[in-house]
Amino acid sequence: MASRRNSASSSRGMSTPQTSCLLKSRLSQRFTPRRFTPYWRTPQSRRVATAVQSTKGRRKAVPTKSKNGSDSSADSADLKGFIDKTWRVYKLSPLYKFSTAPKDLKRYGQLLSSCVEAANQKITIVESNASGKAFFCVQKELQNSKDDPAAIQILIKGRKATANTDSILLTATLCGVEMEDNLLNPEVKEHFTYYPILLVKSTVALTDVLITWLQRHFDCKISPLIFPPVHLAWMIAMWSGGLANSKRKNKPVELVYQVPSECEGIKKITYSIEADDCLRVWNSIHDTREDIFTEEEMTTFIASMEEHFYSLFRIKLNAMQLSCVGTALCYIGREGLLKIYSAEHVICILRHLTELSVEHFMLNM
Amino acid sequence: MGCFSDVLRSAFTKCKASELEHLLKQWGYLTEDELLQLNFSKSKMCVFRDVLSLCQEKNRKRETADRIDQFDLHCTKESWQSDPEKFKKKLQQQVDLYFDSTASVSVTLQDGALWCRLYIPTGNHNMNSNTVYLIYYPHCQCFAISAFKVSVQNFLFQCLSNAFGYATLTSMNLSGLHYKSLFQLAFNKLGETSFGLTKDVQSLPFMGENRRKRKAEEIEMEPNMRSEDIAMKRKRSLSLETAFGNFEQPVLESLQFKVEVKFMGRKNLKNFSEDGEPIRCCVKFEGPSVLEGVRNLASCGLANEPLPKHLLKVNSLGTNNFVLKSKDKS
Repeated sequence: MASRRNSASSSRGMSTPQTSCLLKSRLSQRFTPRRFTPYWRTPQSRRVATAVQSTKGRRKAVPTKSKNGSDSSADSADLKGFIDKTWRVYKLSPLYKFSTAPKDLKRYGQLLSSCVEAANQKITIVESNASGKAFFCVQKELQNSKDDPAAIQILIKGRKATANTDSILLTATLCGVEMEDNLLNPEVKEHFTYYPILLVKSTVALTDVLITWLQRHFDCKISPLIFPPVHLAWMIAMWSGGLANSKRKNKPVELVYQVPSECEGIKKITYSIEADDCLRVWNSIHDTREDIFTEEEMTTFIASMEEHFYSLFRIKLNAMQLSCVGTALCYIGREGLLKIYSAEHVICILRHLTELSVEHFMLNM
Repeated sequence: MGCFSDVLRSAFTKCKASELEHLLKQWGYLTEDELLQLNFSKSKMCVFRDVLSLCQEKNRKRETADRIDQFDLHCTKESWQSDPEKFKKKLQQQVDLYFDSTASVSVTLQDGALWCRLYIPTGNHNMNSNTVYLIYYPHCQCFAISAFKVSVQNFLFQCLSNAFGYATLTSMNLSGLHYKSLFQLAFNKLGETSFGLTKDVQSLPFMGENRRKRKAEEIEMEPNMRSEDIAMKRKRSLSLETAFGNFEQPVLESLQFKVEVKFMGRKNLKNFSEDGEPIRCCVKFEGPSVLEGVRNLASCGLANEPLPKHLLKVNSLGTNNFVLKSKDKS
């Protein structure tokens, strides 16, 4: 595959006016006449770990080590709250005047509770909740580097109409894991806080309330983080061998393809391969001594899986789009759905999502 | 005339003497006067001879032949349909033997099939998990059953095999929502003879409606556009017709294959070690009508012909869960 020049190194184009750009972009010399195009370049290099220098055309694969090299077993116990839940992933623009001081967090909690109450009175569905109290607190486990903003956990507790006890109706986490430093312009840094990711687990109605409140209160824009098929393919390549060394039985690697609508009758094709067999194929493509994997290796891997399928059924999977992927570590759906199975890999998965969100934001500036 | 008498005789032997008068009235071919002439207190054969002579007098050969065939079918249908009450009693008897008295049975007859509902209460009183539904076409070798608890399986199967009069029950591994298609597929499999199976299995008479024929595919011709591969498209639609037949495919919601064959994606891989270990994978096709979808994949160009046998033969294999393994060379 011909290598494309990383446009950060090219000096063509005009720079965008400084006042309108909140984040100091490392790609600030890039020229984009079409501001709102949804297309983005497939990056040549993907940083899984935090490589300080960007390696062109390559990608480091250090799945479990975090930047501080902290003890992963202590963290994984605290991160159990993230696993086995289906999260919706959203990306955010920087929040204006967001503070993590305890009294501010308490105030935010009260404001959000009143907003939830008001929304409850408007909602006429049977399951409306009698009371909803919101709590904001800082989650230390996710703060891996000094540049990361303090991760905030938002809980809304309430009582369903039919139940007798309080239960947690909404769990959300605002975080950014191992972000690149210096993303915010120094002159605006005091006023803005940038969290790349918001994870929410709740009903659609409550999620809407939370998002509207955040947008209105902190003057930001929140939208779902969509994973196009090429990103899903990268995730498969990176994580399908994730738990290969552990003794327990791994979930198979699952690829769900969406059949185009002109072919009536079949909606989706689920192709799942045993994790060990998947790893064998991957090891034959990628040299295990190297820490780096390239785009070529990723496409070869997916292509060989699709070829195996073709030889069995003579159906061309490469003409269809990936809509969900599942590995032993997590399950990711195209519309921003995420379910993590392994507590040890929460940081690494969130780190990757942070990267995707930051990239998307920068490219659309 | 000779064949009329054979057909009429077989029809008469099928029906019961007590129902004969009722059946002949329903048939409606003989007029009131003619019916009055018949003496139903005599034996069936006497009545048969009288009816035969009446039909011969009518002197409308073709119509007579058709009507006599209809009568035969009518008698056959009558003998097929069981009385739901009788079946219910039988089933209730069996259920009372194996389960306690709170179990209940109800049976109705609809579309020629017996629909049964069995309520077998176990520990917790969750209605839905304790109810089992059955669809059974009388005198056929298979029935359809909804989900049931594993704990009641043994007793349930024993009680059903006693009620139906068969010795063993085996699962066909065929499931779905459209019961008529499921029965169609089941009978395709059960109807295989040593001569093989005809591809276009006509509709089963007791199921009622006929299978619909597919609409012919139109190769759309815009006036200003010329298609470069019309010949290829025509060839493709012909070959799909021979492969899948003219009729609409039975409706299945999911089709699953468990595959264990050696890896065949090695074209681009240089280092793949040929240690002969198979790659295990599982493929599932899901959608509103998967068999129709497989045919459409081929016609849209998303699949290349010829399609492999395990996709083409689903119709006659009577299951929707398959296991594909490569043959052992040993």
